[in-house]
Amino acid sequence: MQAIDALPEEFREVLVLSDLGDLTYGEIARVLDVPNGTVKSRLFRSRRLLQERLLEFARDAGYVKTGPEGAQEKT
Amino acid sequence: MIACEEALARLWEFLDGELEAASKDEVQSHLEVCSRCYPRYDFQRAYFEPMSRVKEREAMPRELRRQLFKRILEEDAASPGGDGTGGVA
Repeated sequence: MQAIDALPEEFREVLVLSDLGDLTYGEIARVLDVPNGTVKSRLFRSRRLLQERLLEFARDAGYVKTGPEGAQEKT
Repeated sequence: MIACEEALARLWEFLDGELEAASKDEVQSHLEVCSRCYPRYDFQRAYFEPMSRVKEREAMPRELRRQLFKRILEEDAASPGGDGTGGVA
C-alpha cells in the first residue's frame, strides 16, 4: 500500500478505482469525466510504475537476483 | 493469428476483462501458442495477486465494494467543491 501511496496523484486515483474498487474503464471515465483512452493510459502506466517499484524493492531486499541474469523483466 | 505486438498491446485489457469477445479470443489463442508472449502475460497477471490479498483482507463482497466506490465518487462530484475523485487522489 505504501508503493501505491507513492504514485503520482493522477495515476494513483485510476489505479485505486480499478484495482481496489473494481470499477470498469467506462465507470472510471464517467466519474472522472475523462475519455476512456485516458483511463487506460493512466492505469497501464501506473501499474507499470508500481511493478517497477515493487521489483526494485524486491531486489534491494535480496528477494530476487540482481544483475543481467536477474529475475523477471522490467520492460 | 495476431502479431505479438498486437497481443501485448491488449494484455491489460485482456486481464481486466475489458475486451470484446472476438478480440479476447484472438489474444487467448495467441497466448496458447506463443512462448515469447506467455511469460509477459504471466508477469502482468502476477500484478493482481497482491491486490487480491488486499481485497480479501477487507472481506467485502466485490459488488458491494464497487457500489461503495461509485457512491462515494458520485456524492463527491455532486457536492460543492467536490472534484469527483472522492478524495481518492
